[in-house]
Amino acid sequence: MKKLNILCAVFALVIVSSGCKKYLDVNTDPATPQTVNSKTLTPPLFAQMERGVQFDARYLGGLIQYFGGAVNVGEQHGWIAASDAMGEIWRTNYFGLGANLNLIIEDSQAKQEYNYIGMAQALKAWGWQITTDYHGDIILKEAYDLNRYVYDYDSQQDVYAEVVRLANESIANFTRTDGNGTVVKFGPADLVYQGDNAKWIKFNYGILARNANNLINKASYNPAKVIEYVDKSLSGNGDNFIVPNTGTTASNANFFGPLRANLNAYRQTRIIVGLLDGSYFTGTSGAVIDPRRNNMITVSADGVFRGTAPYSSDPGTAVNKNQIPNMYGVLGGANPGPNQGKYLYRDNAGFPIMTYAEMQFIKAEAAFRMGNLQLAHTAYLNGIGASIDFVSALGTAIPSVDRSAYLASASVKQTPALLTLKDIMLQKYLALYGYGFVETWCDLRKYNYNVGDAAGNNPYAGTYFFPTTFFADNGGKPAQRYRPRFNSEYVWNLEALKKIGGDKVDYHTYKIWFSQP
Amino acid sequence: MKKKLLLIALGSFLLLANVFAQQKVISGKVTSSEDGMIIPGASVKIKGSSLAVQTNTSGLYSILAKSTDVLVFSYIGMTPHEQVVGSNTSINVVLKPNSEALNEVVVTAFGIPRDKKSIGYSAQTLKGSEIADTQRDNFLNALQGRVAGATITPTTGAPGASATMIIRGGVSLDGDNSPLFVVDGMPISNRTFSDYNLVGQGSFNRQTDYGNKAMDINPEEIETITILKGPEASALYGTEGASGAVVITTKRAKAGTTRVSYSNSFRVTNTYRYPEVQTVYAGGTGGIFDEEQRTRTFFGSKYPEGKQMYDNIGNFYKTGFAQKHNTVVEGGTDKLSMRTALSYNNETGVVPGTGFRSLNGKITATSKISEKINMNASLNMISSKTDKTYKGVSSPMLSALSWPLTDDMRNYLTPLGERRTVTGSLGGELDNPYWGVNRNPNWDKNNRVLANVNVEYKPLDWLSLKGMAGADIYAQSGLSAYDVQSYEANKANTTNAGGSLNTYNANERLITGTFLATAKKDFGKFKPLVTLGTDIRDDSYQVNAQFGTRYYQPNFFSMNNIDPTTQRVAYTDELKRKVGVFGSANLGYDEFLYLNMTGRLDLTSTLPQKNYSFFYPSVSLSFVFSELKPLKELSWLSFGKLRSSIGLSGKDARVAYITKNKLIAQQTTGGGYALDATMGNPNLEAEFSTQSEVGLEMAFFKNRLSFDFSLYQSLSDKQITAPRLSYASGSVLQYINSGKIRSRGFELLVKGSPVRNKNFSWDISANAARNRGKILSLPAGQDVFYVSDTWLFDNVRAQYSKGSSISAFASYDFYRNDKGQLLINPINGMPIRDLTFRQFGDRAPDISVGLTNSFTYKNFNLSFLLDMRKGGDIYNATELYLYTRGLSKLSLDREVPRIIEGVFRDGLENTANPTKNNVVVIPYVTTAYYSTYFNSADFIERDVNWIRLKDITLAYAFPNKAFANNKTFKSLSLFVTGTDLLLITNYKGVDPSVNGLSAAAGGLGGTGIDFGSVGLPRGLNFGLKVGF
Repeated sequence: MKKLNILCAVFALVIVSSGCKKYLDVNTDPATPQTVNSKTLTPPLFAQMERGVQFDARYLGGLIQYFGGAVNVGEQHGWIAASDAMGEIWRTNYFGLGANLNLIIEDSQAKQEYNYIGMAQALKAWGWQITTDYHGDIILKEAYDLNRYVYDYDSQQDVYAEVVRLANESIANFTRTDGNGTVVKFGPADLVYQGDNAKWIKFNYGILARNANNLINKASYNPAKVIEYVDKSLSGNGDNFIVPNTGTTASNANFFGPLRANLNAYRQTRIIVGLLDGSYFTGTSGAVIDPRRNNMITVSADGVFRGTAPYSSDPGTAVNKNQIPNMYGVLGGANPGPNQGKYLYRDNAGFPIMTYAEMQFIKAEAAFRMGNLQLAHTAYLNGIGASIDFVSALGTAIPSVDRSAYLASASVKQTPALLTLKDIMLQKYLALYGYGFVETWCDLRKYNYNVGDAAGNNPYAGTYFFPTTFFADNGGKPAQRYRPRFNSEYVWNLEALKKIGGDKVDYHTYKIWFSQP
Repeated sequence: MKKKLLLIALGSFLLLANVFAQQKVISGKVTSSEDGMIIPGASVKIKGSSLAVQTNTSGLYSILAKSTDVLVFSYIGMTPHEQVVGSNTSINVVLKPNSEALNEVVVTAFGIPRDKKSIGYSAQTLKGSEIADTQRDNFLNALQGRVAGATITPTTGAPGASATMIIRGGVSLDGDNSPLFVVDGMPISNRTFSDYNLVGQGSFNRQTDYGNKAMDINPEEIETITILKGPEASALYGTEGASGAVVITTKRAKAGTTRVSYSNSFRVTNTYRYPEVQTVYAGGTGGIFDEEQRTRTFFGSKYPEGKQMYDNIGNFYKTGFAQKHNTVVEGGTDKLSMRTALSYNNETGVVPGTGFRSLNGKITATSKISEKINMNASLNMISSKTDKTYKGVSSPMLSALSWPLTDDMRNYLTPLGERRTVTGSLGGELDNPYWGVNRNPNWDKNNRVLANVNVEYKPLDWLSLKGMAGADIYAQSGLSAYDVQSYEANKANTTNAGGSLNTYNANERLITGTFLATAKKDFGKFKPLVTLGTDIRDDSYQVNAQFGTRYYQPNFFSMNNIDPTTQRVAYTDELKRKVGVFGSANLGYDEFLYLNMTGRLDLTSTLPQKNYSFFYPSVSLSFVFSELKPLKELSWLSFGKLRSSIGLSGKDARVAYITKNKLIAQQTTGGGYALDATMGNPNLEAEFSTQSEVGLEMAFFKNRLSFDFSLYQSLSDKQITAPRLSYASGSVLQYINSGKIRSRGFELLVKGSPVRNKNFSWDISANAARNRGKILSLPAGQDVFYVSDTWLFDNVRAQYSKGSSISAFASYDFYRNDKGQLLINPINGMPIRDLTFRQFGDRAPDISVGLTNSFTYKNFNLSFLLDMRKGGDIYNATELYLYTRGLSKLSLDREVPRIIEGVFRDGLENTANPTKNNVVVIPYVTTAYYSTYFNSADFIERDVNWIRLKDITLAYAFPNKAFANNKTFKSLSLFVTGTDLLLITNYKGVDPSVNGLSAAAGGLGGTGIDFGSVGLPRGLNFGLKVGF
């Protein structure tokens, strides 16, 4: 027994002295990796991109009137106090993408995988761009600094500059031929472009085009630069940045699809109906039926296409057969069930982050402002055609005769001389239906909705209408920005937020930098 | 080994037979000199041999002895008495009380027994029988009211429910405030399975409870429980003991002839308190009665006269029944004695389908291998199963309450055998409770082994070396399911579509080892006691959880019956290791002054290696002033001690793997990994709390009256908490060292024996405690900190701010003007909800008191415990739930037109002449008055008091004469015990002792949140104890 005790003592001593450090070095989770490489981190990024936009589109979609039915305060340009609603793009930028992108850059920097670094920079540029376009002032310079708990806000101008810097760096990285970033390494993880560097470069130019095109109210606005960026960006629908959705489980299905059932209550809107039946282009309802109509929206039981007015619920009844269909194309706010739905509102529909059509409309707008109507007209026609092709692939194929007929119709300006900014902006509004939420909002805001910009351009007059009353806190003003995420900023970073007026009830009606002269 | 045991047993038997011849029977009575009362349970031993007997309940004994033998009579608190047998056959002995009666032995850290008077901190010891006599399955629930400064909150009153124990109010904001449980010197696991280990985090511990692991200890096997609260005691147990320690000593075999005892207990339980609902207004909206009862909101017209009504809730809860059987066999010699105990418990709860079954077997061996070596070993095996039901948001309780009274809820199936609903919508209303408990199974199974061995070697009479090793190994598995037709499977945005199944298998293996060297040698008046030791703890925990939806075949609950494309898994694997080196020196001087110093160095695996070791000392002083010359002479003063202690205690991170970033597998298209919402902190360091305490213990009139008073403060700094962060950090949460929390309080323990005479005695024991916590600064300098799991119904949650306590609530309130008048919306005349959380109320009581009375008259004993509490707020979420549905009694005046007292929010509200509200509202028509314009803060009930009869026991022991000539039976006693028989409270809900979460929740958990949980049922036990 004595021996046993001595043994015990010796054992204890051994542990305490030499072996201790090693014995206690077990603080690494065997169930979950604590370091992974860029390839493994990449696929979820795309899901995060669509998540941010789609979650927030439940409110923003109402504001810009892609979605109707008075489902929430979105259509009233309102906000919800003490709620994370409308704060998902914030989450995507800082948490869903941000920190993961930093890991990718860190991992790939060491391995000289420049395509991964380029991708991370491109997504960062996209993230900053969409976040500032959505929120205005955001945290840029102090972001990801682990040595602080209060993060100050930066101006939108600074963020715009950072986007340009990052996109250019990304382009530089994708242009590199040295290092170890191969298509074989990058392709399988790149759910969007399958490792094609050229397409990523185009995507970067697309971001730059958006960035430059939002500055029409600024002295620095340079339409030639916008056109240059567009020309280097997406060159066809094949270059579209589409986030894929498998659509078999609640986790891998499109947030806009029936499986997730988020859009049951929403109704198609009057503005979309009016654009698709030629009302807003020709002034006559039903003058030109858009070949995209049946793929994008749905007819009521009595055979008439209807949409809700801003912040109005569906006035129809089953008896009168005048109920307005929801986004899935069914009546009464019902869910058609998994694998049903239409257009981008299907479980396995991919979600567009950027399309060729959008780029062409950006070019048309810039060319128009530059005074090059011929160039503007060509881009305008390209945009419409690309949109028809895009929509055709998302439902019943549109016959080429219908496509040509529409392009030759009264809804489409046939000569450069007849082209107006309104034609461009409304066709763009229509083309981006169901996905270009933030981009369309940027357009609406830079032209002051239906009020027009300082130069007197007012492309949305007579088409986009405000709801009869705005949300109570707005003081009669339309929304200009969304508030930073509640549970990130209002609870944990209020001091910094107060400095920019974020604690005011009408903060969301403060004009953001790019829409100010 | 088996053979050896047999041989030893046989050998000792032969030895006994050999001496029979010269022996004669000696019998007699043992009484006390103080009051002439008999002393049951006194030990009568033959000096120098292993033969010993105990006096029975009448103080009588009989023993076989030779005339040359010396009998030793002894009893706790009495001076032992020796007497030579000689020619006597009858020896009556009067024992004198020991002048140092309070010189009780306290089992301290690592089972080191020490004189109570030498201890400089508070330690309260309870007798095991006191706990066991309450007949509670979970012994923790028997501690409520008995331990000063400890709060025990049961999660529900269901069989197998967990209980949360918090000593001195707790200090951790969101971490673990549970004390360490130590059985026979070795720590055991008191883990409550956490929903966070399930796929998708389950219901965040809100809807399912899993039982806390310490409840596996058989109360009948507990000899004593010592609650260590002070810094010195916990300092010795290391980081695990920083929230206090519950040190349990189980019964050891007693040497002597084989004794067999059997006891049983039968219990009936029923629920007698339900939330009250109004029975005037029927289902419907806006005052229109829906004759067909197709709704579960009750804003309709009055029930028609003579309408048949059903007592749905009364019908639903049934009488629970429990039976418990205990058998103990023990005996042996001084060299080797063994005790085996077997306990079987089978219980059904008041909610149909709930129940708890357990089989608990324990074998203990005590042996003296040589003069210098002692060895103890025990093996305890437990197997149990809990059948349970959901609590909280979609629980049977809430469903039963909102079931129309005009409909017989017992009718739960349609003629086709499908789920019958009131509204016609499977996803529009809660499951009929009868259907729910039948078709949404929920159970846990548990198999556990607790093994423990310790060896003590005394090479010199002043030196003892002790090695201890313990293992706590268990496998727990469970299943919770929702049927395809259930509400949960059909409600909007459900993740359980098609029916769902959550299963898990959890395995924990906790191995601990300790080595101790204790030196004790007296140098004249100096009596030092020095202990040096080291210990090691290795805790490994794995959970495999599975989840799936869409059953192939309805009403069959197995993962094999689940659509494979929906199956998901979650795997948890946690390993925590700790090594400690410690020392303590107790320097005693002349029986009246004791200085104790401890120091401990801990090394842990859960902190980054650069910060992984930390040291913390403590010092305490005990001054027994009653030993001083002039005071010693005072006849009325029996004992007096002044004590004080101060100590630091360190805590490592209670959660493993938080120093590095963690990546979580993603289910989105393409799979892959993304960072977890909790960011790693590579700079994490140990948190420290400084605890200081002063105390005074005094006893008077030969110990007939005594008290023990403690005043303490604890200051916790750099607490490891996980606050939410600005997302600009790149994350949502991070464990950081921050926050400063102070807690202060007092504890008072008073004992008295007002009456003590031959036939009748009366003993009182009372304790009172108060704890006040205050947050001096919050993590990351933030304004508020909240525990998100507690935000479980509407907008009330556990939220703390600087200056508040860690038991504070926050809630939405109505807007008010500068003068505090309600602001009213001029459009509808309704108050306006301010959608920000404001601090509102505190769950901590002002004072809590436990009062035990024990009366003995001849062979009868009656004892009862009153548990009292004053103050402390409770969030009555159940009432709010009823209110918004038109079921609350508060809505009975709905037909009375009213103008809500307040002023319009019209821009003039803060001027000298605000516009008074003049809009008339009739809630009967404008039912939004209840369903929308309620004020969450109104449902935090302030200053809740209670007096509860926790338990009352009447026991009768048959006089020993009855068994004098009986060869089989040696003793028999009968008892009746009632638990939770009476509750007097100003609380409007069912039971203010509630927990909205389970014991797995962090911080103070869901204590004080009452939402859809079944309160403690009333129980009546009766049974007998037989000795053979």
